Amino acid sequence: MHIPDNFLSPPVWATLDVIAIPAVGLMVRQAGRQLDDTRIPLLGVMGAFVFAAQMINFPVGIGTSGHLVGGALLAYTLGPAPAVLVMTVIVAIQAFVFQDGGVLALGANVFNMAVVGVLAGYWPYHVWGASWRRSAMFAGAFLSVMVSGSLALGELLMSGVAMPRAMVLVSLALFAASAAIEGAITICVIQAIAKLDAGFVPQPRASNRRTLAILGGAAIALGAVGFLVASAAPDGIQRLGIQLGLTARTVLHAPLADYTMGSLVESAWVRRATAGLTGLLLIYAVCATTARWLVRRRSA
Amino acid sequence: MTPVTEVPPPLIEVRDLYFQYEDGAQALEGVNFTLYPGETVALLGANGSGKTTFVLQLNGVLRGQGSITVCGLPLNKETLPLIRSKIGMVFQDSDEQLFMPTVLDDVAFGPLNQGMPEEEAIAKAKLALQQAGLAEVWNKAPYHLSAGEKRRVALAGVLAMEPEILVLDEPTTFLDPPAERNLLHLLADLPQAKLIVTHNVRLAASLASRAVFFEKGKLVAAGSVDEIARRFDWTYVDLPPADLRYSAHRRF
Amino acid sequence: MHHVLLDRWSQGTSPLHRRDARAKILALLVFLVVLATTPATAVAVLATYAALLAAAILIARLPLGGVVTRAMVVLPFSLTFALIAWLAGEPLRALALVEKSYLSTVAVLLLAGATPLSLLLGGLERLGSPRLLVLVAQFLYRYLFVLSEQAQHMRLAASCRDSGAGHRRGSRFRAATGALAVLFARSYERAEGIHRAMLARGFSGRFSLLHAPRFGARDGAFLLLVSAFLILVRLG
Repeated sequence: MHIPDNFLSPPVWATLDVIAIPAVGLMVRQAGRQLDDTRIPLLGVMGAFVFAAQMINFPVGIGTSGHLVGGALLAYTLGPAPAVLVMTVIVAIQAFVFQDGGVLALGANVFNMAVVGVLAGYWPYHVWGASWRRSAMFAGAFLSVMVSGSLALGELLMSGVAMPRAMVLVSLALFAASAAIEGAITICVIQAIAKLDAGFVPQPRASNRRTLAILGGAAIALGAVGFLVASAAPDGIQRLGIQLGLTARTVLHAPLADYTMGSLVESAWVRRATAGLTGLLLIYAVCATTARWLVRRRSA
Repeated sequence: MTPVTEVPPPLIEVRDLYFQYEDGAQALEGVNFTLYPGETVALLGANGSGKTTFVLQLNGVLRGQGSITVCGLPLNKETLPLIRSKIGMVFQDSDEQLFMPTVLDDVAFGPLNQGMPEEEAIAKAKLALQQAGLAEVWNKAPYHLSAGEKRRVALAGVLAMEPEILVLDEPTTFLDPPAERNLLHLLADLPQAKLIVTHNVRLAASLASRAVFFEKGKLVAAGSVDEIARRFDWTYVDLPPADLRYSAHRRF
Repeated sequence: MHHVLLDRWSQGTSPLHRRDARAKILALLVFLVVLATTPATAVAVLATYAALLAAAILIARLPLGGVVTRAMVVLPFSLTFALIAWLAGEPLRALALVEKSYLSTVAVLLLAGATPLSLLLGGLERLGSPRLLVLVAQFLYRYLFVLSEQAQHMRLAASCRDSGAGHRRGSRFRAATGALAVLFARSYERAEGIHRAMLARGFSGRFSLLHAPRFGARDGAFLLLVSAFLILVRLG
């Protein structure tokens, strides 16, 4: 889900912009270490492929059809770090060229879909893809859509966007449905691609590192926290957001208003925002560490 | 007593070239070939007979076994950059060749790789575009060009590197008659030696002084374009013109 | 297709088109940040911003109706949430959502319509975006048109063969899968062809981009004036 501008509260989008920069930077550096400029055309063309692929409809029910989102597929064919890179570019182009998702919200959308979404999508494949490829790929594709959607939902709720419980549950159900479709499309397409040339889908290196499995699982769990918590208490999240200062019911323009009232540094907003920041930083730290592990193993 | 004419040293000399694809299929078998300065040679043969694979060996994009010498330089890792400056290759798919965002970016790509400073590269690029008759499209994106324009920009991109040999792979594919005519005139005016892979016997006959014929990876014949065309029945449709057939049917 | 139209818009030569990409990007950011911190009750401020955008669209010689319509892509999303906010007893927030998200979309559309993407990417790189991201974006955009046309042809060809009646749902799914796999393989082949073309012209492992035009006095003035105007209106 691409979040437009002016849906997230300033502390939320600002924090995510700040988080996304080193997260993406880390992936870019990793991808850059593995390849010189030679692979850039391939990554670009694969990005264009994802756009083009989204135009092809997969009928899945009476009058409904879905299309490929592509994060997991990119991870399985290009590797996790390049896939994060390509998805980041895709999300950015969607924002600037197609106005799909905001520019200030770009950090949030990149974080949700290009970083956590792709890494969560790759994790099952890395852990058990060597033995049970199909289930790993289905799980990965499912997770990539579910996790990015849940994160987006959580961010909206934290920003104080009004969402009755029923709507949250329906949204989560819709995400789950899209996630399942993504899983189905991904495994079918990967199968067809591998039939054309097995080299298109490289095998994951077998992992027997317990730490990696734990870290990866933690990343997924954190991403899925939005799902569980949101479904249980959407109002609760909103209240939490208000208490943390990430949400402002009447003071939507918090930073500037505080400035006119006194010194920016001493304002209550800054103090409370740091609390919310810590939570999001925790998610980021886990994802970044997971990413580093995954990528180091790949380039080993 | 007849004077012995001095044969100029060949621009390209290929001896015993063998090449296998990854799946084991033999793509080139024992190919011997020579290109002399100022010549235009047409490479004819069925699809998949090895023509494109052969020309990709000349600038080291594909590496087989055998000896290849270009402008007196043996083809190896050290001489590759220099050889790639001497051979200018126009690929069959112009969309794959014009990969930069604008025409100028693309035509300057070669000179920049040759180590030229930016101003000089741009100047060379603009000159090459002028040569190709496309000076005014320098700021356009390749997406906006017609097939013929793309082909000529690709040629400009190659000419900007000032090569001694031009290799063109199916240069008239997707070109309409005016575009084809345009390209032919442009090529005819260029002084470089040329290797043209083509199915277009008309084109071959009007540009090439001789032709070679590929069959299943082997270079099986050489001669004039007419000789080769006749020997291998390398002509297009031999049906009578449509009118005659129609009137023949009408009798019944 | 949207990106085709936008690409055409961006080829213009208006005064706005001629400004340095960096100035335009920074001006957009100032606009978006100032707008984000504007309350829905500040109607005059929002109206002024809307007027500014309209003026910019006219200066850029872009079709006003076209821009206004295309920006409506955000409305389904914002109207849904606005309705819920209104029903939840927060009419102000509802209004804010619709107005502000619409204005931000127009602003981004304006940037994209007045700046060719290759220049926009160059501007982003000079403002600090990682080189690798910018280069991949460049190639993505270059081949976006080619590949989306290919996909459209496939869709058309498939629909021509589609009798509509008596179809097993599975077969259409399989057809779509096949189409994607073919598109994937062709894309890979295309990347391989590009690589060969790069090698043939002496590519040695690193792209050297041509330097963009310098950030001139006019660009600085543009950025300063726009930012000052936006901030003054907001505070005043």
